Amino acid sequence: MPSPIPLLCLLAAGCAVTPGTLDLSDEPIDEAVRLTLDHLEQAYAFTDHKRLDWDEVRHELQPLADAARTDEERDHVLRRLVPHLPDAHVQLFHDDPSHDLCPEARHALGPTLADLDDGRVIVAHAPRGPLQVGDTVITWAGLPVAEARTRSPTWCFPLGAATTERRRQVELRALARGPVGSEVEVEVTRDGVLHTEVLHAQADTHDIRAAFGIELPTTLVQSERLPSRMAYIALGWEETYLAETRVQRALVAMRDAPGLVLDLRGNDGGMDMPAANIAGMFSTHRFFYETVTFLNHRTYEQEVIAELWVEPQELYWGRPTAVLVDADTVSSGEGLTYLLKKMPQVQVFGFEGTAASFGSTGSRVLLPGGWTLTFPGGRGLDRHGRILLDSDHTLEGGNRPDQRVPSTEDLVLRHHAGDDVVLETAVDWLQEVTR
Amino acid sequence: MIWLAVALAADPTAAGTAVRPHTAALLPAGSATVRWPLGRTAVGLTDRIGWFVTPFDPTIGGPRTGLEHGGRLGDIRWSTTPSVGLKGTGKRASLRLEATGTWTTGAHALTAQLAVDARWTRQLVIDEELSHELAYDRLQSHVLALWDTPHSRLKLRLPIADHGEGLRWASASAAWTHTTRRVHLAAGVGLLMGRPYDRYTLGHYQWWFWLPYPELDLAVRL
Repeated sequence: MPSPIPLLCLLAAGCAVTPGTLDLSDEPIDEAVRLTLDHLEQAYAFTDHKRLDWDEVRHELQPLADAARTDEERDHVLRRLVPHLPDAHVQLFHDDPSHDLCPEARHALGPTLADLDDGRVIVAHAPRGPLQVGDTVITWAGLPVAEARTRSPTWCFPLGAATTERRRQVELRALARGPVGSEVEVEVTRDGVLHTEVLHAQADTHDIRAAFGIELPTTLVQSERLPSRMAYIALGWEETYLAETRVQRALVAMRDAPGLVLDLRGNDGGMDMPAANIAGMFSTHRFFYETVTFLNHRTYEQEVIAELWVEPQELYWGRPTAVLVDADTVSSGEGLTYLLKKMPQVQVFGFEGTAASFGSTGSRVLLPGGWTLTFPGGRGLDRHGRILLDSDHTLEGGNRPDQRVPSTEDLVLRHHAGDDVVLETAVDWLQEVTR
Repeated sequence: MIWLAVALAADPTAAGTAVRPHTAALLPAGSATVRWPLGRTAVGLTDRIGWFVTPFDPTIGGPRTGLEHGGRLGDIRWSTTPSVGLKGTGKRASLRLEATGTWTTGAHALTAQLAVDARWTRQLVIDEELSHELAYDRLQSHVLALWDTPHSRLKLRLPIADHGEGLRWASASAAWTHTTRRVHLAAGVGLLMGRPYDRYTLGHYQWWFWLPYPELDLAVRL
């Protein structure tokens, strides 16, 4: 949830509870890293929850920073920071977006890899190169794939990975990338026969998010009637009253639909109160949502900012509802999922859980060389004061699907071929319960 | 929060209906007052009854219309004001009752107002069948105190109930006033203090706000 607190602080006097910006852009890299780590240790909202060991981080990064002499070495140190913060709200980006792709992952080796529930890693998509869709990967660059994936350049991923599930995704996405001109020998089984192939890295995109398979939503609310007569609403983010108003209008327009698919895949968050108000369209009673805290820059303590409740709205949708999520459902998109999961008419569907990154983001460190690091300075708490949704030190958190779509070979290949198998599964359920 | 601050600048009270120096009185029959940019625009129907429209009153519930009935007991003027409000979508209605009393001595006047606002929601229920249900939503209530002198107005507002909570915030304002036979102008500043409710960002604020806001009230008697 991007914080609305800055806006309010423009209106209110004496505000110390804002997502602050620490400007270290003119510092030498060794000093910038030292000060950044000191700042994060005090200001990052989940150090204790995630049991982060800042001394260990210093031990790894500070020597690299002290030794950095070139721009490339500087960039490498900064990129190495992100994996230490398992949180999708932690993001590193450059003023010049074409600078974001790190050298170790600049080019694509060709395939898209995917984990299956049976433990295999398969080629899910192969737009070019010698590998074929459905190949099972055995070795990668001479190492068993289980070991090779842990050595892939995951530090090039510009966001923190907050769950084990997400980390494994990032490993495979990073494995399928390499430096300019690189070649990798890969062993795969195809129809039970072992094949050895060589992959050649080629340029594909300058967009780091596209390179790692992240698509940002471009539409606030998209609605349509599915061929099954079910209503379909995709919510890209939660923003002011526009989001709730458009969802309400879409529901009213499709009021004769027997069921609803609410697609929150890729929902990249927004503000918490619109999420609560949208959830209120699915509830007949008022109930507690969260307590929001934020860092007070004077005391360096978390301070309670607000208490949010879900209240019934002018429209109540009581019909069966399928909510679709994925690992890119983040922040207040996760909050909305969390609220909807409480409703008896709602079931959540997806291959995977949500991003487990719910805190109040917006705090920034401006770093040398045009880099910016963002991180959450605030928390969402439940009624008992426990941190809500953000993953803990075990990398567990977020919302798990009520009905998980299994990662079988058939479904994963269909998914990567463009079939929306999560939507199909959700519609099958809706048709069954509304028959 | 912005809406709240804007609404605080409005002067929907009976005390603001008439152009000074007849503060806190109903308009004479056949007389009309237009207020700008917010507040109560009114017509005196008789010497004891006025009709009014409040075009913008979001803290309480939207555009509002009603009848005001007033009288006089010695130095004390009084009025009771039932009104109905409709939210912009037309699906939320509220009924407000106000009781206002003003004690005038010389050029000074002290006014107190108690307003109770009950809201109903016409809820569209999309369930096994479509239905419309009229549901009680919530109760809001505030008290307002005004002190008028020949060239100034002090205003203090306290919500007794606001989204299930009471006495969480207050506002105070001071305005310079200038009045001619047809025109009344008040310009000043106000301060919201406390922990208000905000439907659009973060709900019930637990953080103490000090929120200054401008206040402008222009009334023209037709």
